[in-house]
Amino acid sequence: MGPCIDVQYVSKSYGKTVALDDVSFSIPCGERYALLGPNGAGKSTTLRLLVGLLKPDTGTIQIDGHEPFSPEAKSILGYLPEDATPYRTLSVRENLEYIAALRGVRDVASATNKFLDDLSLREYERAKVGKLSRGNMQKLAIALALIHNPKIVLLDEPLNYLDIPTQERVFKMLKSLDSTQIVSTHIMSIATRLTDKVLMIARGKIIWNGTIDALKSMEVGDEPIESVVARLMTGAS
Amino acid sequence: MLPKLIKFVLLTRFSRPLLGLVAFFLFYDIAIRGLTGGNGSDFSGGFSYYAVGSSIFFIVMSLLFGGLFVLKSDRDYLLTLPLRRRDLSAALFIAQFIGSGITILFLYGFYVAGAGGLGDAIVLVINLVLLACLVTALGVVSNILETWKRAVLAVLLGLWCSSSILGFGFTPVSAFTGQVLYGSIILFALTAVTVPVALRELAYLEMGSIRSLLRATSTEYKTSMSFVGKGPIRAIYSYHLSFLELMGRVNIGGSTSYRTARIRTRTVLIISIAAAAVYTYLTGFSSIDALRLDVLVPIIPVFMGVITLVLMAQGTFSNERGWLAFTAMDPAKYLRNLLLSRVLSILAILGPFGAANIVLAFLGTGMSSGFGHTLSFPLSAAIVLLVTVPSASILATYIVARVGAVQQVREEGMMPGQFDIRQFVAILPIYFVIGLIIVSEIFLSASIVIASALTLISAALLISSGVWRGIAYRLTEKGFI
Repeated sequence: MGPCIDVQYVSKSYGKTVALDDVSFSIPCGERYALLGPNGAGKSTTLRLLVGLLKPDTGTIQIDGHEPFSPEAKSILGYLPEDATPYRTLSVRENLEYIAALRGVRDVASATNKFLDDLSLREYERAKVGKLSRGNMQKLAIALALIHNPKIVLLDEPLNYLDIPTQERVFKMLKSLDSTQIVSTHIMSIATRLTDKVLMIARGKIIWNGTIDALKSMEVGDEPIESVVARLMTGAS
Repeated sequence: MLPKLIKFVLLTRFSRPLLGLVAFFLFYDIAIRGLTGGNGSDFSGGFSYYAVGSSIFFIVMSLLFGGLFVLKSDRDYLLTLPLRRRDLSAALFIAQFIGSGITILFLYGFYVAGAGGLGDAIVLVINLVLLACLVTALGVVSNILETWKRAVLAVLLGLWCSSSILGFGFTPVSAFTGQVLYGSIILFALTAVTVPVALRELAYLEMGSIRSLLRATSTEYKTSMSFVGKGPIRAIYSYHLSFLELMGRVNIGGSTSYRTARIRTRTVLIISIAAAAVYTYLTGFSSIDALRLDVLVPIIPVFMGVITLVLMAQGTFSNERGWLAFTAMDPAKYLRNLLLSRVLSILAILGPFGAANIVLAFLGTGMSSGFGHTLSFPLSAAIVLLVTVPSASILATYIVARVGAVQQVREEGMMPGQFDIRQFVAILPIYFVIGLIIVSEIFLSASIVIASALTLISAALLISSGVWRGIAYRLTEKGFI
């Protein structure tokens, strides 16, 4: 089986600021990767390029063999940015139905009801999103990213703002998905629970690519995995 | 401490180049134009209509759409600092004044600065500054009022000010109709009441406006939309034809509000039809000799054009969510249909007035108005309202998005970021379009040519997929997710 995500020699700059510098990696279908890196490393830019919201300056990106901005790629991608805000003037239900309709979901009502129940949003279904608490807004954002049952899921800090019971529900939901996943996070416990492999990025370059187990094997004594990651990110020996 | 605080507050809200440009325009507008070209000594003529109409517009808009020049970081940091509340409110009021009230000085500062004698000029400049302070204060005060109270107050103040046209001297704008003494006293009194209220509100924002914004009330919609059984394109039209959305920087009449609200298009249509019927009666059938009501025919399209263009240009993308819409379908296809659906929805406001003008054209309204080309006024106005403004709004939306002047509303009531010169520059083509509308009003042939040209340009823009994909990439690069 070929890779679901294939990135070759991709660079992206914003003016004079280089966000990604000649980055290449491949993710086979069905694999779950954590995208780790310090602030400003290029993680969000990577996800935005993969989902077709940005165009690379150089290099190529293939999503299941298609360009990221092609209809074929869009139909199989699910994306959740960090601090995602849904449509503020729509209600929770209207948001879910609208995005399901835009994505051409066959049974909009069933998909909507499923997420209203799975993420305990039923009591807010008629509420104006602009008036929701940040946690409920995040639950809705997760539902919107997954409503079309995407084959490839790209999530940027998915558990931000969620209470612990909801975090557990989202863990379970994401683990149950039969999809390729990239989860960008700063929290190692999220990475270790949701993914098996790690793509580490710093200053716009891939600095480490391997399994969580390989990362754990680099621990010295009682050293926590966070310290190993910090060492790798800062280039310390 | 106060000068430092003022500097900090201003520079966190407005970029230095923007402040420089505002200062330059203000100097040029009042000092140069006022002293060299001012001819405001005749306050009974066209200037009265212009000044009174504009003042009513500013007052009403400030009450309806008044907003705060407050950043999210103010809530988290500035308001928690041990500052003297008097200093804080003064600094914030100055920022409000620069952001909203100052527009009044631009619009007719040069008229009053050039008024007949020096005495007249001084009194009128003071009136203008007071009016700017009043509009600024009303914009702040409106934040603590419920919507219905804002609307009632706006209607009452609007009617009161309108009475100055009939010769009533005791209104805040009577100075502009020649009643300088009484007008000045009333305006001073009103300003003396509202400004302290505004200052107090700004001094304790976290206990007033901000607390009400943050109140964890969950607003439930009584009527909702359903997208079940609809395809992608139908869903877009269903959304935007069901409700008119007010959002983004509703920058009308100098007011600034970051709000997201929606009104049923059907309700807007009913109100617009009723207003258009009143307009048709007043301009076509009434015979109040004291009033030159036929003058409304060329004025109404200009005001409606300004409102529509600003709402469309700055509001279309403010509530858009690229991470949802642009990843669900081709951004070009999405934006094309979004714009068309919004243009159709604004016809709910413009359409009845367009139809009313067609009726007036058949009635021959304007025959005796003495403007020359009189019969063409209603026809021109109909073309402007039904074709020119809708087409121009697509062009205006494109320009504002292209220069990256769109601000995404992510937090209710808070400025999403600093105003910079791009937002100022982006609004200039809108004034150019307003100029085209005015020319269209005067010459029917020009109206047809301008409407056709703008329709062709807008159609060409809409057809080009590359243009809208480029806009989507640009918005994303500017942090619009």
